[in-house]
Amino acid sequence: MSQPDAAMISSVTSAAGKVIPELVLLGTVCINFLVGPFLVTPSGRALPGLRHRWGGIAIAAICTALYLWWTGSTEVVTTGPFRVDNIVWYVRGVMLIAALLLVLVNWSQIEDGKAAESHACLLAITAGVNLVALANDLTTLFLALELISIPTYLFLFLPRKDAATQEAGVKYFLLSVFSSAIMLYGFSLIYGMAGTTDLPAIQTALANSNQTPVLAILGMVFVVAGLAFRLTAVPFHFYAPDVFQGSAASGAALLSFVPKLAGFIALIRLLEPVVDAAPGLLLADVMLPMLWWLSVITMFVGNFLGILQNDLRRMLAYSGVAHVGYMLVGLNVGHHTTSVPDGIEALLFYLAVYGLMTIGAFAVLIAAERDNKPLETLDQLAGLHRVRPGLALMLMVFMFSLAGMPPTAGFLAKLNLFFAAWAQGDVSNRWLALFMVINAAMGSWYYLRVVGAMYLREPLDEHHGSHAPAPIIASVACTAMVITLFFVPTWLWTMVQTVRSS
Amino acid sequence: MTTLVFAMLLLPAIAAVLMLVLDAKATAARARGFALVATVATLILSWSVAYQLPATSQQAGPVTTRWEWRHTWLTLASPAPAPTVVNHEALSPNVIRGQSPEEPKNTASTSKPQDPSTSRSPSGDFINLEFYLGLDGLGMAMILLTTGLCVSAILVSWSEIRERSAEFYAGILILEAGLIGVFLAYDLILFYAFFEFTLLPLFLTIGVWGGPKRRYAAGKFFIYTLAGSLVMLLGLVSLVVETQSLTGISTPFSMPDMARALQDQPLPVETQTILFLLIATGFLIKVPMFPFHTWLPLVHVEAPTAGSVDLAGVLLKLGCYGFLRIAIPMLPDASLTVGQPLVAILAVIGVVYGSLCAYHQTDIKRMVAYSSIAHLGVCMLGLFALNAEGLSGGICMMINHGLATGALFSLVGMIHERYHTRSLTDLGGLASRIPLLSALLVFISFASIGLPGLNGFIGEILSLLGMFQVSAIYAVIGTTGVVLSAWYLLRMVQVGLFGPLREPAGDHSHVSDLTVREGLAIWPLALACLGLGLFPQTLLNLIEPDVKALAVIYYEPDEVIVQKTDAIQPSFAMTNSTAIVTSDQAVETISSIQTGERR
Amino acid sequence: MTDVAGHLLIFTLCGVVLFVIPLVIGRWIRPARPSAAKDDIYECGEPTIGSSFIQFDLRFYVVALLFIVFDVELVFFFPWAQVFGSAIHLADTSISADAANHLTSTLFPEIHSPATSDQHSAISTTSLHPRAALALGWMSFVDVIIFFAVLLVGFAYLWKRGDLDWVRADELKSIANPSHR
Repeated sequence: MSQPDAAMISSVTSAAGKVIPELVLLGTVCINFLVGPFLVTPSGRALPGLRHRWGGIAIAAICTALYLWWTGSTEVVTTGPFRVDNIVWYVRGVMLIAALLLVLVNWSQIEDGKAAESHACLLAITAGVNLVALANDLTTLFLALELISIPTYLFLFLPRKDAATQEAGVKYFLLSVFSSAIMLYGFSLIYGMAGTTDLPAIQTALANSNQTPVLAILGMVFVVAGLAFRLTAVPFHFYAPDVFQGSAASGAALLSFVPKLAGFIALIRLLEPVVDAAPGLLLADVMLPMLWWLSVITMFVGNFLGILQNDLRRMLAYSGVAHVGYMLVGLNVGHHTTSVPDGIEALLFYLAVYGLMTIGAFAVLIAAERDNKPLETLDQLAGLHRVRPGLALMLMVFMFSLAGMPPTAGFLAKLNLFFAAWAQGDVSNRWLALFMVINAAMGSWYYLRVVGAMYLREPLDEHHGSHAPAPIIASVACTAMVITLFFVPTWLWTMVQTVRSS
Repeated sequence: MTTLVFAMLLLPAIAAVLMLVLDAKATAARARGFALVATVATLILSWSVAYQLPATSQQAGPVTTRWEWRHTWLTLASPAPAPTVVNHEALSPNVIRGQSPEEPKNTASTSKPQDPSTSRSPSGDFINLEFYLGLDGLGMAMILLTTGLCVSAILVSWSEIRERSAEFYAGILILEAGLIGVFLAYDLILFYAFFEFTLLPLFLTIGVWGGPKRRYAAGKFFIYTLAGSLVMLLGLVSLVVETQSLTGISTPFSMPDMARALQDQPLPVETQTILFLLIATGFLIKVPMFPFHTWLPLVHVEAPTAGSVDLAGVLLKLGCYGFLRIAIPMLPDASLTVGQPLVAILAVIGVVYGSLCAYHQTDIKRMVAYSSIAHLGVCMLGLFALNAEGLSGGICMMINHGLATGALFSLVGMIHERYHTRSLTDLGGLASRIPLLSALLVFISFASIGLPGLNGFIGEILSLLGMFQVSAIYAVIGTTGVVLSAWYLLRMVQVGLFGPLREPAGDHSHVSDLTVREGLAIWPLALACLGLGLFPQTLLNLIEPDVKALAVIYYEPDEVIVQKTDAIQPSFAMTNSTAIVTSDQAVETISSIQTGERR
Repeated sequence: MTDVAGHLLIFTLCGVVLFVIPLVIGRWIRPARPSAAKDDIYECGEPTIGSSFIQFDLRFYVVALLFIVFDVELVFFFPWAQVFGSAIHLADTSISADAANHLTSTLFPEIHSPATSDQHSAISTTSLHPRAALALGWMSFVDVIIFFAVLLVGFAYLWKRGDLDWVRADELKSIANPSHR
C-alpha cells in the first residue's frame, strides 16, 4: 500500500525534533511559573537572594539550549510547520547569546519575589524569537511573534511599580496589540489571496498567478506596518522613547534589541517569498519603494530627534530608531539583484553587532545606577570617568561603536551596509548610502555628548554606584566582543555568509 | 624587520594600556617618566626600522612598498555564486518570466548571472579587506617625524599637566600608535580606520586638558573632521566599487594593487572627478585648506601644548598624506583637470588669507595656527604641481612644517608656562629675561620663514618651483606667502623678544631661562631643522623612488594628458619640455642651489 | 486588477450606502417631539441613580479576563477532537474502505480534496494505513496532554498567586492592620 501521507505525518511528528532548544527554554518557563509562586509569601516577598537562584536557572537553561544549538543537526528542512535552515541557525545563536546577556542585565533589576516570572518571560521571549526564524507558516509566525509580545508586556511591567513604569507598560501593551491586529489583518489578506498559510505554497501561488496581486500587496503593506511597529521604524516609532524612558533599564535593553531582531527576521522571511516570487509584477514595485522611504525617514527622524534628547534612555531609543533606518538599507539592497556583499548579509551582521552595542550600553547604565534609581539624564553621567573609569571606558566604546568609529565592530558593520548599498549599483540605493553618511555624521553628535559628559565634565558628587557583578560581566563581555569583532570579523561574517548561501 | 615594525606600532599602544590598567592613579612624575621611556623606545625603534629599510621597492607601480605584511581581515564577497536565482528556477519552473528570456524587459535578477559582461569579479568572488601594513620612504619619513615629535610632546607637558597625568600620557601614546598606524596602513579601510581613530585621543586630550573653551573646541574639531571623513569614506567605498567592477582585482582595498590596476585601466574622467571631490572633502578639511580651516585656530588655542604639537606637527599632514597616497595615484585625470586648479586656487587664497590673519593676531599661538594654514597652502601647491619637484617639495614641506611648527608650539607653550599669557600686548623684550629661549624662538622662526640653510627653504623652493612649471601666477602668489610669513613672524620676534621689557602684572622674578628638560624637548627639533637645511639630500634620497613612481603617472604618456588638459583647462597646458623633469634633476637643482648658498 | 478592485469598490460603496440610507430615511420620516422624559437616560425602566461614569472594581476585569483566556483555550480542543476521533476510527481495521477513504480525506484535505480526486484517482482510493492512523491518534493525544499541562501550569500559577480569590490575602492583611498599607 502506498503511503502518500507518510511524509506528512512524519513532518508533523518530527516537528518537535526541530525545536528542541526552544522546548528546553519553554520547559524551564513552565518550571518557573509552577514553582515560583510557592517560594514567595502572599504579599510578594521572598527570601533575599532568591533572584540569584532564578538567574542561575535561566543561565543554565540558555546554556543547555546553546549546547543543543551547537551540537544539533544542520540538515535543511523546508516543509512542515517549522523550517530549518542557516538563518535559523544564525538567529538561534545570536538570540541565545543576547538572552544570556539580558539575563545578566536583568539580574539586579528585579526584586527577589518577581525573579521567577521575570526570567521566565525572558526565556519565553528567547524561544519566541527563535520560533519566528523557524516559522514556515503564517500561523506559526504570528504565534511566535505573540510569544515575544505577551511576555514582553509582563517583563516591562514587573520590575518597578511607579507610575512611569505602569504607563510605559500600558502604552506598549495597547500599541503592540494594535500592531498585532494590523499585522494579522495583513496575514488574512495574504491568506485570502494565496489560499494557504504555508509560506512556500504562498510563494508558488504568487508566482503562478497571472493577475496583479492587489490583495497580496495590500496584505504586505499591513504586515510591514505591523512589523515596523516592532522595529520602531518611523512613523511607528512614537511609543519607543516614552516606553524606554518609563521602563527599567533591563526592559529598555530588551526592547532595544529583541523586537528589532524578530521584526527583521520576520520581514526577511516574508519578503523573500513574496517579493522574489513576483519580481516583474507590481509587488516589488510597491514594496521596495515603501521600504526605501521607510528607511530614509527612519534614519533622519531618529537622528534629528536623538540630538534633541537629554534623557539617556530616550536618546538611546531614538538611536535605536536611527539604527533601524540603517538596517532597512540592508533589507532594501538585499532584495535587488545580487550584490557584493549582499544586503541581507550586511543586515544580519549589523543586527548581531547592534545587539552587542546596545545591550552593552544599557548594562553600563545599570552598573552605574545609584541606590537602585535608574540613571535618567545626561547630567547624571557627568564625570563618570572620575568615579568609575572602567564603566566610562566601556560606555565610550559602545558610544563610538554606535557612532561607527573604528576600532569597534560598529564601524565594520556600517561599512558592510554601506558597501552593500553602494556596490549594488542602483542609483536609489546609492542615495541610501549617501543618506547613511549624512546620518552617521548627525548621529555622532549625540553619542559624542555622552562621551563628553563622562570625560569632559566634573562629577556632581562622589557617589560610586553599585558594584553588582552581573551587569558588569555583561558589559565587559559586550566590550570584548565589540572590539574583537573589529579585528577578527571573519568568524561572524562567515556565519552570515553561510546563511545566505543556503 | 617585521618584528621591529610591529614593535614600533604596538609599543606605544601597549604602554598606554599598561599605564591605564596598572597605574591609573599614578603621580605626574611616574606617569611622565613611563611615557618618556615608551616614546624614546619607540623613537629608537623607528630609527632602527629606517636603518633597515631597503633603498628601493621590489614591485613597480605608483604606490609601492619596500616592506610589507599582509593578512586577510574580512572577505566581503560570498564564495558561492549567487544562489537565489538558481533556487527560483528550481522552485517554480513554469513562471512567466522564465518562458521569455529574450524579452528586453526581462528583470535584472534573471539576466545578470548569465551575462558575462556584468559579472562582478572575473578573478573569483573574493573581495578582501586586509591588514596590509607597508613602508616606503614617505611613510618612513612621516613615522620618524611622529616619533620624534611625540618625545618632545611628552617633555613639554612635563609640568603643564598636573592632574589625571596617567590618562593624559596614555592619550598621547595612543595617539602616537594611531599616527604610526596611518602611515603604515596600505589598505584603504585600514587607513581610514586609523585616520578616524586618531580623532579619539586628540578629542579627549583637547577636551579634558585644554583651555577655557575646550569642550566647544573639542566638539567642533571632532564633528567637523568626522563629517569630512565620512564623505571621504563614501568616496573611498565608491572608488573601491568602481575599481573592482572595472578591473576585477580581488584586493581593491589594497592601495598598491589598486594603483597598479588603475594605471593600466584608468577610470572614466567623470567618475574620477566625482570621486576626487568626495575624497578631497575629507582631506581638505584635515589639511585644512581655506574655506574649511575655521576649526584649526580655535582648536590650537584651546589645546594643551602637547596636543598642539601633535596636531600641527603630524595630524594636519594626514590630509596631505592622504592626497599623496589615494587621490594623486588613483585618480590622475581628476587630479590634473579638477584637483590642480581647485587646490591651487584654494591654496593661494589660504596662503594670503592665512598670512594676513596671522599678522593680525596678538595671541602668539593663534598666530602660529594661522601660519600653519599659510604654510600648508604652499605645501599643497607643491603637491598639486604633480611633477617631481613639486611632489618632493610638498613632502619636504610636510616634514619641515612639522618640525618647525612643532618646535614653535613648544616654545609658545614654554612662554605661556612662564607668564600664563601668550598675548603680544602683554609681552615684550623677553630676550633680556630668557635669552636662550628667545634665541631658539628666533631660530625656529627663521626655519619656518624658510631662510636658506634651514629646512623650510628646501620645501618652499621646490614646491614653488614645481608650481611655477605648471602655472606661474599661482607660484607667484604662493611666493608672497614666504614674504608674508617673514613679515608676521619677524613682527612677533620684534615685538615679543626685543625692545623694552614688558611683562604681565605680578611677580616674575622666578622666571628662568630654558631648563634642561625643555632643552631636551627643543634642541633635537632645532638641530633637525638645521640638519635638514644643510643636508636635504638625505630626506630627498629617502623619498625619491616614491616621488618618481608617482610623477611618472603624470608624464609618461605625455601627449594624451597634455591634450586632455588643453581641452578642459587651457590655462594649465604645459609644454613637454618642462614636463619631463625627473626627480634626479630636481635633486640636482637643489644641490646646486645649496652649494651656491653655502659658498 | 480591475476585477478585484472593482469588487472591493462595490463592496465599500454598498457598505457606506446601506449604512447611510436608513439614517437618512429615519431622519426624514420620524416625528421629532422631544420631551424631558424622552431625553432621560434609559436604564431598564428604572430612574438612574448618579452618574454612569463610575469606576468598576478591577476584580471584575480580572475574572473576566481569566474566564476568556481559559474559554478561548478550550476552543482549540474542538479541531483536536475531530482529528483524534477520525484517526482512532481509521485505526479500526473493521471499517469499510469507503469509510476509510472518507476519513482520510477529512484528515488530509490537501491531498484528498474532491477537486483533485479525478486527477489523482490512484491516490484518492488509498487510505491511511491503520497503524499509521493509530500512531497519529496517539501523537495527537500526547500533543493535547502537553497543551493541557501547559494550561494547568497557568492555572496553578494564578491559583497559588491568589488571583482567583475575591478578597486577596495581602488585602486581608491590610484590612487587618491598615497602617501597613
